[in-house]
Amino acid sequence: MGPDGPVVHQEPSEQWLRAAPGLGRAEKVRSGRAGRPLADGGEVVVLRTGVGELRVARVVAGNVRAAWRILSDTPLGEVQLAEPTGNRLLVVVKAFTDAADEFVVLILDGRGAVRQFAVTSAEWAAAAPLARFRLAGSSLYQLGSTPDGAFVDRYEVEVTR
Amino acid sequence: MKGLVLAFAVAAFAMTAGGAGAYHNFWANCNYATAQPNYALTRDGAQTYSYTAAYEGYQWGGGCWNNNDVDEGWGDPPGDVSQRGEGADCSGLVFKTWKESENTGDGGKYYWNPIRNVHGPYVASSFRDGVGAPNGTISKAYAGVMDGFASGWHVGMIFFRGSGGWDQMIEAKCESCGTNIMSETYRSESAYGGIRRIGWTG
Repeated sequence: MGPDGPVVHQEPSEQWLRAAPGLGRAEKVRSGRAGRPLADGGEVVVLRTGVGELRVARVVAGNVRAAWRILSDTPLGEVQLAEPTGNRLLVVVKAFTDAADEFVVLILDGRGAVRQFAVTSAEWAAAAPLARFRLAGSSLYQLGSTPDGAFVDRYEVEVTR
Repeated sequence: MKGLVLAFAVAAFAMTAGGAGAYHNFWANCNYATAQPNYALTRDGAQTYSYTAAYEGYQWGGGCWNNNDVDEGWGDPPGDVSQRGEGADCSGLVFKTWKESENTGDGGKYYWNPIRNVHGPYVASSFRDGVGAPNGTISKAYAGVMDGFASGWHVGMIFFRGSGGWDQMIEAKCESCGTNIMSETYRSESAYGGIRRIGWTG
């Protein structure tokens, strides 16, 4: 949800577009942004680069307020989620080899990763590429599937220090 | 008796014609011309060729389309090659785009006109396993434009890599979803392996 209502990730432009009811096609196209608009007026910008590098930035009024560079010896795949939770940022990214894969959940603050854990990919059934995770409050929900059926798992991502 | 046989034959013909007409029999528009040996096999050329199949539909076991951006076999029952609809299936699209030979021992390059009806000898798992002289495998992390990803049931080619870590795949996906460029995460899914055509010239 952006500051002016719902936003959607359009493909193949990979831009975030406003999707409020009543908006015409031209208005939606003009609203396209590389960063994901947030309700507080800021944006989250994601860039996967190289084989094992991910860059994420939180942008406010055109200025980078915080940025993270995540390096991995294991190749990184799609970024399922990059969303603020309080003054931290939660990132869900796929790590993979030619024979195995899993999602890695990272909780980032100004000092780096304050928590991380791995989640089984559970991708038996095909789904929209970025439809597997949702953040609600301090709960991270995963939509997964196995040959036995679909399920939703909840992970508590509150960080106490 | 002769009249009865003739009537039966006419009835049988009418049933056959009616059955074909119930579906689209797009293959009546296709040809079976000999493939032309062709030296060039460039990745951007393969992109252009594969995109002629976009919006043309999907036919299980098929490999014939006319590039008018209309699926003239839409709505046929899935999983039945006898419906003879327009479009390739996933492995047929890769076979034609990669200019492969029907002879699995031949690694040469052959241009197949889109309207030439050919599927080729490979299924998705053949590509995954690198079966055939023109086919190889590649580490998924390094797969690039017009390389692909294949599993035991599906195969597609990379049209371009997205900045978010997923790929825009050109793929013949299913009867209802057709053939098009779609955002997919095959690269990071363990069910899929990286595949490549051996012998790109550019």
